[in-house]
Amino acid sequence: MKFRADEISSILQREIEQFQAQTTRSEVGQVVEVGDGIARVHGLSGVMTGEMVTFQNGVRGLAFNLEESSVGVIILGDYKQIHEGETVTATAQLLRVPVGEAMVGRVVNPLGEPIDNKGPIVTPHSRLVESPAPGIADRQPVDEPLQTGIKAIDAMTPIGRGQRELIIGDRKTGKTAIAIDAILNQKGQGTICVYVAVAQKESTTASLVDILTRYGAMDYTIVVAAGASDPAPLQYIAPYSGCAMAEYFMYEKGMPTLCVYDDLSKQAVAYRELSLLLRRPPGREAFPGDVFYAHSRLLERSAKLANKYVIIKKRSDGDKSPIDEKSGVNGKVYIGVPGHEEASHELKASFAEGHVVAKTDTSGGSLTALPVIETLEGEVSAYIPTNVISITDGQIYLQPNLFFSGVRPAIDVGISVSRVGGKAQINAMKKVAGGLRLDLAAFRELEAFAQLGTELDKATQLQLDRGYRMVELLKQPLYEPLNAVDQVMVIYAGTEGYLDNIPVNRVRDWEVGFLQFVREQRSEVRNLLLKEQKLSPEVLAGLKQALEDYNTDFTSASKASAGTLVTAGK
Amino acid sequence: MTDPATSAQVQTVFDESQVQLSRVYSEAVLNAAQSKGVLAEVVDEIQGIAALFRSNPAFLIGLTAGSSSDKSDEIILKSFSGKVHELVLNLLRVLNGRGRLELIAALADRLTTDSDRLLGRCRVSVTVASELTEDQHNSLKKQLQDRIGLVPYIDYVVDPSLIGGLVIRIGDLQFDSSIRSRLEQLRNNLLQGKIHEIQSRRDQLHTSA
Repeated sequence: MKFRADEISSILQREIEQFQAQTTRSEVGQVVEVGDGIARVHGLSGVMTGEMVTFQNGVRGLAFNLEESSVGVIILGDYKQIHEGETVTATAQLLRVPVGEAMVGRVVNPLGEPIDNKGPIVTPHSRLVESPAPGIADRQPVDEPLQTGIKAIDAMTPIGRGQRELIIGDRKTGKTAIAIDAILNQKGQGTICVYVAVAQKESTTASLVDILTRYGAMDYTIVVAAGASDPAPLQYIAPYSGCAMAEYFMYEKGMPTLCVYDDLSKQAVAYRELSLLLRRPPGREAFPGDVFYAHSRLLERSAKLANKYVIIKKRSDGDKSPIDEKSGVNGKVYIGVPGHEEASHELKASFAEGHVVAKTDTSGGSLTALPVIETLEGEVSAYIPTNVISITDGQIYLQPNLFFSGVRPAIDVGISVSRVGGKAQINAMKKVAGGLRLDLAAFRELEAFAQLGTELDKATQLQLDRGYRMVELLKQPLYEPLNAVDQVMVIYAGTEGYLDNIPVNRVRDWEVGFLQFVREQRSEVRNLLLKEQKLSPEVLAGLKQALEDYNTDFTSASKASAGTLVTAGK
Repeated sequence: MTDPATSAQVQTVFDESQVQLSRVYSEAVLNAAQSKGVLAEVVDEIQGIAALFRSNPAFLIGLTAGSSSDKSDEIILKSFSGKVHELVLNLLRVLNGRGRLELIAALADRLTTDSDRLLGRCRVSVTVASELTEDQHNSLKKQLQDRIGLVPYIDYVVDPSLIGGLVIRIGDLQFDSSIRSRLEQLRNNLLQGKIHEIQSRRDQLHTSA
């Protein structure tokens, strides 16, 4: 396509001719002091807290502290370019970030500006960085699963859409790996993911983006990165920006979203830095008094929004016209679970055949949060970990000793919990994983006892053997999330004793082989389970048969290979 | 005792506690001056002394870093007695007695603002591209007086980068009608237009594909 010169010049001419300059009226102040991401400004007497201000060189800031004769501003950009005496202008606006479909697949800074060298992001939508969380009436209980693809989590600490599940552990225990697996597993699920990197090394973020790209996850992911060298104000607002980007899809599109905040302890440290520089009084561990609020208001923005229903005329299968709140034939909108019941009742009572209750397209979105907290030497009772534990709906606790003994993901089953996710498990998983958590906790106790070298009775030995196999079964390599039905099948095999005769070191081979066997030779069982999502008698019968057949094959193949080894040894 | 290095910086460094203190002193001075009917005179003299200290920081350092306040008091009496209004002299002696002489600059600023308010005056800073003629100045003064209802005291700043037009600042409010800011607005408008153009072309390409 060629550009025509006259076309461009005519556009410009029109623009210039129609341009009407206006005298700008603005409120101004002078920079009195600047440093470490903070500026103190004299003037700006009418500025409001949280209001955006601009410095002479275009850098933006936020009015944070309103004092009697000066204003403390946090600088969202390069503060080294700002000098004493420069003019600061109030904008009468709150901080907004661009949001929308154009952001997906991009790596942006906390202001929504691209940092991935893929050109400008053009989007007509924007949202406030700080916005109130939805109220009680706008929500509904968490009842849909968000599959992470990690057996140990989906079976024992399941996460629901709209839940806040904390990932907590020491450094290098696989916290980010869990979050990445959860993102990778959203492929094809219609979920938009936002990964917020706070104060991470640029190299770590780059390799993470590389992994997401390689596994095709950038097609539905936005990465918000505030690097370790970025000023504290940017690190502080990064989670709120990421949340705003996810909220667009939750509120405007009714889509499920997943937000990973990696990690909030670094955000708290950035906030502490800002607060101390602004001379706010320090509290415990020198954090300011409102550090709890910093996290609670962020995590409260995660929600499962209530579905909205309308009664419409039955549509043909091909009809894809949008259903909105005005589509209802009686003009009424029914909200949430009780709304659905009311609508169904009304449908039966007062509507003729050919009407149905339908969910509106933009309702029922969700924002699931996976905040990450790094502990020091396993100290969960420090200030920030206890705060975030109390805010979230459960935590996944990662143990360094488990990690180094090869149990990966290194989830400590005993103290990891999910307070709402159980309701969100698929029926089949609920059945097979019911007692798994307690069994494993009992196994850990027994294991410690067995180390004393005591002679054990047969039942205890059996429990111990099964425990070893279950632990082995719950190990999972990096970036290999499993489908929920595959998880159900292998966990069923473990809990029902199909692995008891398999050597512990061969459990992984068994699992890989079994899943392949089912997929290739018993696909009807898998498909039925996929369809029904529960262990119906037919599924159970098929699964048992498949397990027995595969076990026979596996044992004979093992014997044969052992025989070969022996012969080769001779 | 105040560190001499710190005292020398007083004029440039914004000190919140000084601002607050000067407010209290300003109120006291204004009330005293008003009751004696010498408001304008006293304010002028205090401004003059502040300017003197500003141009001779060594003088202020000599006073504040001296051995005792009595000695400083003697110097003050010797230097200012008979040359300034009695009220101003007393103010200086009170400030010296309380070890607050370095407050004078902040106090002068505060007094200016407060007395302007009492006398119905208003300080206006006007930035222009080139110096205004007498006629232009008068016309601007009249227009400002009509708009704000106070007598404007105009401070001119010449900044050729404005190209043309005026930037008027009254307190924390700034009115910008300079050619520079108009060009800036035009530039932003054109850029916005261009971005929309790119977006719509790209959307067309997407839909046709």
